[in-house]
Amino acid sequence: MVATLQPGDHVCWTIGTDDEQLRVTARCVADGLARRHRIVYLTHSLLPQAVAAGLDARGVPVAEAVAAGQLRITSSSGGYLATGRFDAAAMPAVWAAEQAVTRAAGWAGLRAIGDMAWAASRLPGSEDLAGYEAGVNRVFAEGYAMALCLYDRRLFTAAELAPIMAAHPCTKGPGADEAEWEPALRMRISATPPRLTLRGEIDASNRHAVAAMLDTLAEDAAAAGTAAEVDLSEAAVYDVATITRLVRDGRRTYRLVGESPQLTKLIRLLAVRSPYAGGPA
Amino acid sequence: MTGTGLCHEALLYDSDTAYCDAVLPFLRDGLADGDALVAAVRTDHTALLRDALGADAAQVMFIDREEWYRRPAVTIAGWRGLLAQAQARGHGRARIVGEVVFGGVDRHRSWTRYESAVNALFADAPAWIVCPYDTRVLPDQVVADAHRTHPVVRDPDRRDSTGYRPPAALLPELPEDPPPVTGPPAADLVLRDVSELGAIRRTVRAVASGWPDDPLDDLLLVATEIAINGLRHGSGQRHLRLWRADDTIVCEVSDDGPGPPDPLVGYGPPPDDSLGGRGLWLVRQLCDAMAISTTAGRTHVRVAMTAT
Repeated sequence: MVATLQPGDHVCWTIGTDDEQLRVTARCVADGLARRHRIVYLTHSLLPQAVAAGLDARGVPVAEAVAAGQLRITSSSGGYLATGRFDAAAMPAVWAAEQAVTRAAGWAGLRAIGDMAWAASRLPGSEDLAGYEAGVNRVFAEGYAMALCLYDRRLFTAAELAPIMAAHPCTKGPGADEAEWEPALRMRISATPPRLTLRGEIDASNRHAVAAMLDTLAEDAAAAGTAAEVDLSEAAVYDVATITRLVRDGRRTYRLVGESPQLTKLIRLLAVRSPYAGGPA
Repeated sequence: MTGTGLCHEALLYDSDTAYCDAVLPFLRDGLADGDALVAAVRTDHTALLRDALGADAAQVMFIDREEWYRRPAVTIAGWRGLLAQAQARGHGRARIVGEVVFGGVDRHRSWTRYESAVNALFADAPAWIVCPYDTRVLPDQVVADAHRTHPVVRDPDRRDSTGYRPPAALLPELPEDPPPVTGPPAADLVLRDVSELGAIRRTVRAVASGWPDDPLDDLLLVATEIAINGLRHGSGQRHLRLWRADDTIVCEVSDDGPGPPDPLVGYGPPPDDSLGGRGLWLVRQLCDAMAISTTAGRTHVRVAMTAT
């Protein structure tokens, strides 16, 4: 359920109705208020006033939280689209700045709730939405901020949603029971030494998020001039493409820690090269 | 024989003498040529060859064929590894004597497909493979298929096989027999998108209750890979079904698509640079059996694994 979310998480939550959106976000906002998180709610399909009323109707003390500076409900045009277009490359810096402001004000964490309906209007720049979602994992994986990204299934096709889902470490899909849902994967990154910790299950539903974090880790390690580590002691990898990437990149960029015997076996299977055919044995 | 590509021959023999008359010169010439020598043969043939070769037998890698010929995809991977080792040791070519274990009738189709696939998968390999077929004990159909799967036959005269069919033509005519199931499935799920892969694994875990961790992890990976394969490459309504009988679990993903166009899918790995495309290859490595069939407009990818 949405109440299990923690700082560091980055969720693709697919919704089918406005009521579902308000129900899920009311729970997320209430939970954040209780944990002394600052909450930034970027809405699009609903007006900010409608979100405020909807949350209020579901028991969230909206006026009080807004007055205290703990809750900001704003239109996406003042958030993602402040420059009139979506600049995927600039967004991680925007979120990092929002995080710095929140931290400076003494809040225990930052919760971003984003209604991604604006992307369905095909604004300039939105074609790289999956790239943005993959790249922004870096900010959340530091463990102070978290994001709940709302994707309305009435606005996006399954083919459009597939790469977007895979750019998040976890997705709440249409078939999942809301009460039983748990995040599939948590990713946390630390700078010194460069270390990526993965907890949960990796598969095709989150492989792009993992790939982006592995790339980020490699960049961090190169910049620091030190070796990087990927901690897999609490992770299970059910994705051949990710294992292949670990084999391919790991040889030169990072060291695996705590891999399971099964993963060791699969890496060995995938790692052997055949000199005449160019493939693993 | 010269050249760097594959030579793949069937040796049809009906006596120890005929066997030795063909295999011993093959190996001795290989020694003279500096080739790597490998023999995955019956235990009685290992003894015959060791006796006849004397000290030279130390130059031959003898392999227990019962261990070697368990799953076609694993055997193929094994040959790739051995050829890579041979090349690393400086051998320009490998000579291989490979006696496939055709076993019971349930294995004939899989291993005939293997014999055919070898021609495509190792087309560029610097290897000369002789596959002895004992015509006294092997069924007529298996021996007849040897003419279709080997470009060259010896019985004992060595000649091009007039019945040879390239794998691209033969494999579609010899579809793998799907692993059998009985009764209704223990689970039947509709697959919609990748966010359901975790739920699929929860269902697999429930059906595989009592399995040890090691085969269970393999099964979870296999189920995830064939599910994502169906979602990505299939069309229409996708179903995942599971059956359990004792310690054997059969997992099937079906869709409304035409199935993969490449009859060799999963037998050989894609090039090194590619991150994708290894899924079905790894599935074939891990499963006891895998079959892709298309009937009445639906494609079924079915695998079987047994907890051991």
